[in-house]
Amino acid sequence: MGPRGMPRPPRPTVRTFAAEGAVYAGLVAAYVALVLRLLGPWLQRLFSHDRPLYAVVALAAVVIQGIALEQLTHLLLRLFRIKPGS
Amino acid sequence: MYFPISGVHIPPLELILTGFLVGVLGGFFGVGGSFLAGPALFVFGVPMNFVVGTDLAHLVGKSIVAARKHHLLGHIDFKLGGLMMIGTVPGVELGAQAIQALKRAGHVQGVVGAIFIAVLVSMAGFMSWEGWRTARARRAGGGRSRKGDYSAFGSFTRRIQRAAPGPHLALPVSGIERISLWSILGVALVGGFFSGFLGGGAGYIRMPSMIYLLGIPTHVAVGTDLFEVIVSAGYGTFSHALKGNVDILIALVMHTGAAIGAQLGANLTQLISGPRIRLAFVPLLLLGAAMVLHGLLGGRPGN
Repeated sequence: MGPRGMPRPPRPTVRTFAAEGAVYAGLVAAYVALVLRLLGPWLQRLFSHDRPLYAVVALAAVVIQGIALEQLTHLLLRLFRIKPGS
Repeated sequence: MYFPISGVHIPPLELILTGFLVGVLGGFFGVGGSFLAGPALFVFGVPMNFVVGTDLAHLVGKSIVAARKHHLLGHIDFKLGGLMMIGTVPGVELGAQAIQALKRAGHVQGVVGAIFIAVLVSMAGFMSWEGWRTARARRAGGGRSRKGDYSAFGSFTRRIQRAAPGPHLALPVSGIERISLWSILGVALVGGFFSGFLGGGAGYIRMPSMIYLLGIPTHVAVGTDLFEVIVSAGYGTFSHALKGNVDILIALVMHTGAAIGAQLGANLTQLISGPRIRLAFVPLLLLGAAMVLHGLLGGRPGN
C-alpha cells in the first residue's frame, strides 16, 4: 500500500522488460521478413497511381500496426502470466 | 533492404534500432523525437521531403503505443487533450503558413534552423535552472506541488492562472481545480505553431509548457502530450502522404523498433520522479540543437 492507504501502482520489473523485448524481437523479425515483402509491391503501386488511397492506407497501416503490436504483446504477456506494466 | 517508394537502400536493423532509441525517448519524455529521427533518416540517404513525411508517419504509430501505455498508468488527461486539439490544429496551419512565407522569401533553411536552435537551447537553459531551483527547494522542504510532483516554478504558474481571463474550468485528472480555458488554448496554439513550423509533434515545447505554464503534473503532461502528438502527426501524415512525401514501408519498419522503445520508455516513467524526468530532458534538447547546428554548418539539414 502507498501513502494514505492508497494502493500503490504496480512497478515495472526487469523480467517484464526482458519479456516484452523478447516478444517484440520475434515479432519484428517475422514482420519485416514476411509482411512487408508482401505489402511492398502493392503499396508502391498505390503510391504511383492512387495517391489519395495511398494516404488513407498509409495512415491506417501505421495506426493498425501500433494498436496490433501493443495488443499482441499484452496477449502474449498474459499467456506468460506476466502482468503488463507490472 | 530496398525501399522502392523512396528508392533507398537501408539496413533494416539500423532502422529498427533508430526507431527503438527514438521510441524510448518518446515514451519517457512524451516527445516525438523528430529532431533526432529526422536527421537519422537523412543520414541513411532518405530524400529530405520523405524524411519529413515518413518521420511523422512513424511518430503516429509510436505515439499510439506509448499513449496507450500511459493511459493504462492513468497519465492521460483526456479533457485537457481534447481542449488542446482546438488550439493545436489552427496552430499547425499558422506554422505551415509561416514556412510558406519564408519559402517565398528564400530564407527558410537558415531562419528555421536558427529558430529551432534558439528554442531548444532556451528550453534546455530554463529547465536546467528550474531543476536546480527545485532540487534546492526540496532540500529546504518546500516546493511541493500537485500529486507529489515538485516544481520551483509553481508560484509563477499559480500567478499566471490567477491572472488569466475566464471562462475557468477544473481538470480533476491533473489535480487542477481552476484553470483558464484561454491559457490551455494558448499553449496548444503555440505548440501547434511549432509543430507546423519546425516539423514533428513539437512535444519539446508543448510538454514543458504544460508543466510550467498550466501546472500539469509531469507524468500527466507526458501522457497527454503523446495524445496530442497522435492528432497533430496523424493530420501531418495524411497531408504529406497526399503530396508524395511518405515512405510508409520505412515508417512501418522503423515503428517496429519504436514500439518496443515506447513501451520501455513509458514504463520507466514509473521509476523516476517528475523533476528528474525534466532534468533528463535537458541533454536531449542540447543534442537536438547540436544536430541542427551541424546540419546548418555542414550543409546537411538537421531538421
